[in-house]
Amino acid sequence: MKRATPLIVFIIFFSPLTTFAQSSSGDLSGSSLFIVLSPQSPAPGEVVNLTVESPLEDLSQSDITWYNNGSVIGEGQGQVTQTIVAPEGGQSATISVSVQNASGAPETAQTSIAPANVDLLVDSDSYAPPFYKGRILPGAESNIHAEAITHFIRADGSVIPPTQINYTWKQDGSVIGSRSGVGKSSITLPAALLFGSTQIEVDAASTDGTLSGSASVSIPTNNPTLVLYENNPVYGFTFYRPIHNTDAIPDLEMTFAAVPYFTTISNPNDPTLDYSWTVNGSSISGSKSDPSELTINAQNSSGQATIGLELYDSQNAFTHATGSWTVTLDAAHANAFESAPSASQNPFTNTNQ
Amino acid sequence: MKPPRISPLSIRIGTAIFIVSILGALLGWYVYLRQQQGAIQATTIESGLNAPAPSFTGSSGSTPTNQAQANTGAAFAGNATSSAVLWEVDASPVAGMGFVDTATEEYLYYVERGNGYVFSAHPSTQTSVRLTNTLLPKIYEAFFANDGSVIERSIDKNGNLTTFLGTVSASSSVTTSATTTPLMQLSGVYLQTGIEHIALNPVSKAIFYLAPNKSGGVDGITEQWSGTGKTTIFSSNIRSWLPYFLSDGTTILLESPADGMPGYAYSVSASGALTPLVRNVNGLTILPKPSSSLLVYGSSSGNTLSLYGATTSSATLLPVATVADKCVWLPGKSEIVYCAVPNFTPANDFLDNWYKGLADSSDDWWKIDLLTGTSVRIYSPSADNYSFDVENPMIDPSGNYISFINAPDQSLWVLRVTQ
Repeated sequence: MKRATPLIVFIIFFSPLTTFAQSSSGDLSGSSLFIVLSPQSPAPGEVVNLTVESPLEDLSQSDITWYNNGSVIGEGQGQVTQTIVAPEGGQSATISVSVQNASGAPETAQTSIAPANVDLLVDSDSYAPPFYKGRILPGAESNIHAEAITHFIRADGSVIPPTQINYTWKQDGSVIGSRSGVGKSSITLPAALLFGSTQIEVDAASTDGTLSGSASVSIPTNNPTLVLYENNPVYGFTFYRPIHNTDAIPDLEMTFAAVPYFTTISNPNDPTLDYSWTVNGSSISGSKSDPSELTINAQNSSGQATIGLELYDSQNAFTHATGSWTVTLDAAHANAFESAPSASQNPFTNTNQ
Repeated sequence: MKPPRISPLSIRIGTAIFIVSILGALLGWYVYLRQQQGAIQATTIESGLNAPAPSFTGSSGSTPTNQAQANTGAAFAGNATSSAVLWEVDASPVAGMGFVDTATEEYLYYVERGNGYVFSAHPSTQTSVRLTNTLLPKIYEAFFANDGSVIERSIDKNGNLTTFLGTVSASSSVTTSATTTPLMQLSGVYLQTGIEHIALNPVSKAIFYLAPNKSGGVDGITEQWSGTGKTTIFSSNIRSWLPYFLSDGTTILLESPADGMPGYAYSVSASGALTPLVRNVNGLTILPKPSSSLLVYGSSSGNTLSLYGATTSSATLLPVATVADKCVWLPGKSEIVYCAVPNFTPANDFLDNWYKGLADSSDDWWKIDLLTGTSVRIYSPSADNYSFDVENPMIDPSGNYISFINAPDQSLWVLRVTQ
């Protein structure tokens, strides 16, 4: 207990000062007033809520006047809040407030707003097929790539480059000190577990202290999405049209290709993946060279084929996806239809190489 | 001090509670996994359409018979209330197209996906001929410059992305018995493999592409068609970018769209400086207008699509709900944009699923004038018992024809629009 006493005294003594410093953005010399901005680092054109506070006085009965660059923008008794629109990049606004109590001299506080943009962009190192135009989103155990793009413009119009900006990165509220620092505008972080989400924040401040901004984004960890396409001998992978349930396929033979979106693999035939294919309930092996693909032949048959697929990743327990597609291979359209097999037979021939 | 004694009965009760808890947790996990499997199957069912799958024994491909059918096309008048005419240019899957200037008339050049052949279609006479005889199988993307030069993109046998820059070579024409039109070679060069996305300036033929870098992100590289002036103007730790190269020379990067996720778009200077065009819009898609500050951008979040017309200082919500990928600017100084607009409310995460092919739309064509704020539906394919999920729309320089690809089968169509 004796050891704790100095620490408690230290906390009691310094905590009001610490809180005060965090919430104030005003000029405190000779005044008990301070101005709080929300958001603290506004972007150009963003609406900013201003609040004047005093730890010593009740301002509700005071006459309060707000100024923006010397012009009155609001006044009234007890008007402790005011709203403005932040100026454009490269411009600044000087906000001041005057408080007049019935019993004393007026007090003033002042702050300036020099807005700056911080954009926080994110994607991941998970898998998406070639030519995919959407965002590559994180799956379980994949890594999130984040990049902060700043637009810090000084009053003279010059741009502050990333090499003169100090970046402080946070993941789920915790500062990542080892990845933060001057010029560190990007970061790679592990994604949250399956069905979770990751909160990433970045605070950016110019090393000369003139401009600052922040941004945050929440990124959900995605289920692996298993989509079945045709690998057509003429057209290649038909990424534009997945195999749908109830599809009628007017061909003798078709190669199905499974694409596991947003999994932690480099390609669908990654050796860590285990594809378990079934056709009408019977296990059937995929292609030896490309296990993500299955070729079946409907010669001497016609009818429904239910293709089942279960996918595991030996290196990632969270990568487990299943899918089932019922298609009708109509050999008649390929002029090769003969007698249909009995229902107990698997009518399809595996022609994988 | 002796530790407290634990009776055997307490141990047994504790063990039983522990085992029941484990079994309960396993049961809960099993039920949860079953639900997930059901959700995947439900997604598959929801995305199903009854349209036939692509076939290599049907009417597609470039067999002589199919080609004759495809090139003949199927023209028909629009519905009675419309002022539009539709032409099916090619029923085979098409990799890309572009309007090409000639001395006298405008032609629509396009590449068939199965063979990489370049075709020339004449919208006003609704005729089409094959131009080249150079086989490049399995072309996934194609881009045309105004002079007919073409970029064809594919995947090689090792899974690498390939990019071929080709020009139709008149000096090496070959006449075949299958056609009376002299066929020409497509000669050119391959760029480095692995280029993830590419954009072509249709006027200068300069290219802007994104190639993987060592950090796991991409480098943005500009290069002249001739191969000179290769410059890395941009590097990023993320790889989800889409490049744009406008005819006025502007290069633009869009963070690849994702439903409900903030997206950003920037113009990129020659020195690599990024100037924001649109910031922090969920499911952001864009359509910039060359030689103008005008921009149409879309937002997709949940099951809500929104479209905005924007300048550098303001944005206005437009009265149609679609993605910017389905729109095209009328050339010139007007502020008119044509958009294919889904005629039903899409399901959740439409954009993500659309890019995977899992979601389809059925679109009507709308004409929106940003200057006057008016919008009018100019064509409803359903009135002619057609349904189109429009992608990659392009308009000819005179503003008379819009070409587009029907996403589910990649067939090529031309819509005539009236000014």
